[in-house]
Amino acid sequence: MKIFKLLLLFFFLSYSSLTSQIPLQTAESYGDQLVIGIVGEPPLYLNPFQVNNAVEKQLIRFVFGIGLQQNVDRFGQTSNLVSRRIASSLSSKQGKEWIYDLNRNIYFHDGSYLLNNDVRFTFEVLKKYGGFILNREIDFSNVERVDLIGDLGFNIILKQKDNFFDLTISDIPILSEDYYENLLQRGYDFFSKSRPMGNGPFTLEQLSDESIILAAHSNYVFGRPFLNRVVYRFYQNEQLMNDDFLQGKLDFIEVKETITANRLYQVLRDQIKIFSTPRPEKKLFYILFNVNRRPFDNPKVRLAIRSGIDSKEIVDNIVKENIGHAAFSVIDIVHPLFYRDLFQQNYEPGISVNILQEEGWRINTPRGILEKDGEPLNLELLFEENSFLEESIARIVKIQLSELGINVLPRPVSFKEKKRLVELNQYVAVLQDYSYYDENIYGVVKDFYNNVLKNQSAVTNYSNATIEAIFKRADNNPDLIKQYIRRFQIIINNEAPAIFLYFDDHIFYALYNRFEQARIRQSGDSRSFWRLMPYENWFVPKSLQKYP
Amino acid sequence: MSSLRIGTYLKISKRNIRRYLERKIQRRLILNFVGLGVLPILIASFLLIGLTENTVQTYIFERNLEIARGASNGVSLFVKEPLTILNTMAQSRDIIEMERFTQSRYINKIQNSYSIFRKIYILDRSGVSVVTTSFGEELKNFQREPEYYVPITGKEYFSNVNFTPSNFPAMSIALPIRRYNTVEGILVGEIDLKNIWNLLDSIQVGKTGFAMLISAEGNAIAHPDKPRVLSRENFTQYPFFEALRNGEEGVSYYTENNEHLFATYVPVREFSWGIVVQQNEDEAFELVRKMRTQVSIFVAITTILALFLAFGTIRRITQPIETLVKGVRTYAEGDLSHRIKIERQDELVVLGDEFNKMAESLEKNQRQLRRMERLAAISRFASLVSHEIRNPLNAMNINMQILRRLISQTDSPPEKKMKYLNIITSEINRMNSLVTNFLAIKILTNVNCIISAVARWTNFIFT
Repeated sequence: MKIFKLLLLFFFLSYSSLTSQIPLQTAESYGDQLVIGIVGEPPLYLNPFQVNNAVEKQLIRFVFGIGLQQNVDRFGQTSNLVSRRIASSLSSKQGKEWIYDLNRNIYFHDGSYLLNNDVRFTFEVLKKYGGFILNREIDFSNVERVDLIGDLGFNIILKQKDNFFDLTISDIPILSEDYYENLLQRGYDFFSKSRPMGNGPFTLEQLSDESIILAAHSNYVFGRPFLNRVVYRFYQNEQLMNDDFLQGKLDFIEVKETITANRLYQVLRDQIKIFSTPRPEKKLFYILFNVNRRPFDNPKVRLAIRSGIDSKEIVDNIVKENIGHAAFSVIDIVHPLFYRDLFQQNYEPGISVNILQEEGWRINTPRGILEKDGEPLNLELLFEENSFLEESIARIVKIQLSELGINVLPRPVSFKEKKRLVELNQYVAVLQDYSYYDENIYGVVKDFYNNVLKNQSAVTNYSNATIEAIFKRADNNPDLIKQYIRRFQIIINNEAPAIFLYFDDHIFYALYNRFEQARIRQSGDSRSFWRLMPYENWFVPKSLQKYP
Repeated sequence: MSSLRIGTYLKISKRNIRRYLERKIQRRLILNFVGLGVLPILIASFLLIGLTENTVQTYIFERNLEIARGASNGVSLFVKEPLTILNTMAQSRDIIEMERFTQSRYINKIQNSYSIFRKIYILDRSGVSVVTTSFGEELKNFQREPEYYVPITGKEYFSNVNFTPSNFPAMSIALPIRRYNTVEGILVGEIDLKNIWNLLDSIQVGKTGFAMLISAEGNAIAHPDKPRVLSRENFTQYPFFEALRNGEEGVSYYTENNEHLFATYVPVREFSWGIVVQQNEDEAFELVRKMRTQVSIFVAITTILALFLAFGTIRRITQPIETLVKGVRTYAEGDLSHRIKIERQDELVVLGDEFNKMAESLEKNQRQLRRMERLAAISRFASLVSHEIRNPLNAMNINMQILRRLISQTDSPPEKKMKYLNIITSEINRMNSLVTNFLAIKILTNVNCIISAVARWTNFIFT
């Protein structure tokens, strides 16, 4: 009897010790919240059809949903809301008629179902008002009509054949016709006056100047998110955000470069993981000139400065190779429409000196600065204050150009001030970045010219009649787009209104370890890489949850 | 009063112990054995443990001190590197003769190449920063800062450790830039001390031991637990702080979060900082503890074995003695038929045999003595009986002769004859009574024998 009792005790202890080692199941891990740090300003309101930056794109995705189909973005793919039954079997209709079935039980935040009439309504809104997602223009002018079949099926009839229509509808959220019925009459202004309502995994709980709070949507079609809340907290500069991350006030931030990433890791060690994912969008760093300011109104001075900057040194010293690569145009060198001859352009300080001498710039005084007509060649370069990356780039540019006798005066300003000065054209040169998706490279080129180089907001900066003429021609004749994109690149290269520094290929994330299922391994064409799992799949084991 | 009591108590105890020991050879032998055999083992073992403990402790202290000294040198070298760079810059006349533009390029190149510099400033004689790598801080006035008013007198200046807005440790070095022995400007370098973290983080002593760097004000400059640095934790209350401030190195013990810790500390003399190598006592002296446990177990087992052996040996010695004592006691009680049996082959067996022989001899003698006593008693009894019987017989004989005479005399009256016959009859009765009494004596003797046997058993049982 005594042995039996001892055996019983032994088995009980073994069982307790084993069960304590079994990790908690995800099913028990609803709760907690994810606090994300962002440098910048929150959007005033959410308009799913006018997406200005990557953060807005994320927010739209979480509130309004992924759309009928999802394109490649920062997050791993989730299932689509529709199944494409068939493109018509009739060859005449191939690419002209698209037939879809909506999945069942897709709920909007107000509990109503997403049905095919909502799809038709959304398409009508877009046909009427258009829209854009970053540089990608949403153009539904080719949609003739949407025929409904039952309550979930629908046919999209195009005016002209389009074999890639699937891409056109991806990432475009579907609105509830019942909720947004006034949108057709009142236009997109209606979004600023109504509470956003979609079918995404989160609902918008609060939007303020400092933060955005999203709460879990319990009827989300792919299952309720594990996290109760996702909070976006906005910061004036990178340093403040990093400090809050170090103090545990933030759970997740994007780190701009490896040096800061190493610093964070040095402090927090095992508490965090730092990982990178390939950047699905392109992020180009460049120096933009104010071509209205002397002497930078002279393209030769701009070209001389470009030749005096070694972007490879920037990549090697700050960005690190295989995380970024040198840029020669607004189009990445891996893109088929990149003009190959530009690749030959390189760091040529000798050429730079020659150009400047030809233009009459001399070092006449012991100061060592190039002068012309008694005016020193000073280049005031705006950069974002408290950004280690931008300060380091500014320093390298200063060192490199000072070798030529160009006095670079880096000036740190807040991102708001930088934006204001650029809009007002009150600067000499500014260090900036530009992000885009390259599916529609013509749209990118146009956007870059119009919104970055030309700066139509207040005072026109760089404009070129030839470029505008080729855009007009390309708009009328899409077959010539390739040729015109090449010409655009040649013109920009010759006139150098901007100096392209490098493309940032990876995003570095710093995340506290309590979050599970944050990354997913995906296979690329030649290698495997990690991508972020959508936030709705992230979870925190009960025992590690921080927020009630 | 109490000492008197204790003295009395001790005396009594001593007497009791002595009595206790005196009563048995076995006890005295055990005491001797423990005293001569086990105690030396125990004392030697404890001396050995103590000696080894001291040796291991000394080794651990020395090792940790060496680590701390190494770290201290590393930290000195770490800070000397930017100091050397700044010194080279400051001592070269070129820097003061350079144009601002060239100075700016120069110091920016230095900062770009050496990540240890957070900022570099060149101040003019009035204390205004004329060139800096900290963009946006041009023309900053340092007049009221020690970075200006110390070096302007021609001395080097090392600031206390300060913390950046992000709470990272930093310090400033300011050096005078001289021309023709006059201070023409000041070179200020702000050093990022966070880079020391890598150096100290690489130091790990055992599983829990680590090194930390404490500033002159007692703040942590480097600590593996980074939040303690970021929260500017102060270590002035720790026992090693005062010693470090006095420039001493050594070892101190303290308790933190119920954990017993010890720290070896070495000053970084140039900056009044201190390197502290902290380790958990339990972990550090685990080897000693293990050794102590093992030796203790060994000593305990040896002692127990020795005691068992001692008991066995002493038992072998004392058991025959006890058998002898018992045997002798049995003889003393009169049982000479008892034989002492000792199954050994030593002198005690001979002694036992001698006792047995003595008992045999005694028994034989006793048997003879008893027989003689019995014979004497019979003879005494026979004489008594003959005497007792002879008296009535004599009386009967006399009375019979008188009766015979009377019978021969015819004239004797019958009453007279009857008288003598009655006398004879009474004598016969007396004889009869005597004989009956003798018989009764014999029965009584048997009864006495039984009573004495019962008494002997009762005595045996109760004693």
